[in-house]
Formats: sequence, structure tokens, C-alpha cells
Amino acid sequence: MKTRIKELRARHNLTQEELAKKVGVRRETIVFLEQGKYNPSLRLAHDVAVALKSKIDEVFLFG
Amino acid sequence: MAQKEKGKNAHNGALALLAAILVLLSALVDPRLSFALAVVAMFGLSFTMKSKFWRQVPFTIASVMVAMTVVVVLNQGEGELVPAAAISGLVCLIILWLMFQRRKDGAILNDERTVAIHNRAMAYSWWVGYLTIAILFWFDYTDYLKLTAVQFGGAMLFVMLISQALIKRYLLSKGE
Repeated sequence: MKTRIKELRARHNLTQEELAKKVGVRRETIVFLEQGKYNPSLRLAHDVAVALKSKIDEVFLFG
Repeated sequence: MAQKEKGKNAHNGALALLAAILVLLSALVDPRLSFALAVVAMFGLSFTMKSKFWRQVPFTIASVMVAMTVVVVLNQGEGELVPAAAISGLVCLIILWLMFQRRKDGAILNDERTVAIHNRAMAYSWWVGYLTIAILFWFDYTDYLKLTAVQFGGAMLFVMLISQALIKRYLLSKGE
């Protein structure tokens, strides 16, 4: 799985720490999400997408 | 409603801390009393805790209990039990205090990833424990290694705790 979290985070001028706080997870979780090393729950995927003002399928890319 | 829940959590927290202190103090009087209190407190409080932080307290008591058991095993039931229980209890309370401070700072101690990893590490650790029991059983059965029940229990305490901690550390660094 690939994600556009890093790109969208930069667009919204958010640090990993700020995004983590917004969605209520640890910063490490955001790091692993960005690297595609963690499959989030639907709830977390939704929260990340909302925090980045995008849709889930725009943030998480399944190829 | 939230205010009521907050009040209930504070009440539970106070109760849990009181139990932890009682367990530690009773260790100074009679380790057996402390042990019995720890068992009752651990199970009693585990089911009543609502707040994530205060759920750690029963585990603190459990840690004291485990530490005391390890000391008993290592000393063959004699010696340094009381100071060891007091020291391990104190260490647990300090760790708890540090966690409380981090929580007050707004740091997120656990999220869905760490909880999933914790659960997975527990499952792997269960298998490691099962394998260890099987190995020790056959060693004993074939007279290769004779173990008493106390030595066997002590070995399992170490194996299950350490394997869980190591597997958790590995999975946390790996990503999922």
C-alpha cells in the first residue's frame, strides 16, 4: 500500500507531530503510515483523510 | 455526563493507588498477606477501571507480585523478600508517575498500532511459553534435567515476560 500522507501533509503545512495529535495517534504511527509499513484501521484511515481534507482513496493508494 | 465519568475515574484512581500502597505496606509486615492483597486488588481493580491510565495500576501491583515471586524463586523461599518487594514496588510507582507526567503533557502513550502490536506480542509469547513448557517437560521426563515446581514456575515467569517484551520491541521497530 502507498500513501500520499507526506505530500498532503506538506500541502497543509503540518508536521508529523501535529498530524499525529490531530488524529490521536503516536508520531511513530504517522511515520510508519507514510512509509506504507502499517495498515490502518478504517477509523484511523478516515481520521487521517479528514485531517488532510481529502478522501480516503486520495490518501491511501491500493495498487 | 463527562464530569460524572471524570469523577468516577478519579475515584477509581484513588482506590487503585490506595490498594497499591496497601500492598506495598503489607509486604513489610508479611509477604504472604501482601501477595493475597495483590491478587485480590489486581483482579478486582482490573474489572472496574475505566480510564486507560488507571488501568496500569493493577498491572503495577501484578509487577510487584511477579518481582516478589522471582525473589522467592531465586532465594529458595528465604532471605531478601521484604526489601526486594519494597524496592520493586517503589520502582513500579516511579514508572507509573513518569507515565502520568507524560500523559499530562499530552503525549499519546498508546494508539491502535501499539495496542495491536502488544496483543500480537502476547500471542507470540504464549507460543514461546508453550514451547518452553514442552521442552522442560521432556527434559524432566527423560531425566536430562530435574526441575522442582518452584524452579519451573520461575523459569516460566522469566520466559513469558522477557519474550513478550522482546517481541514487542521487535514489532514496534519493524512497523506493524
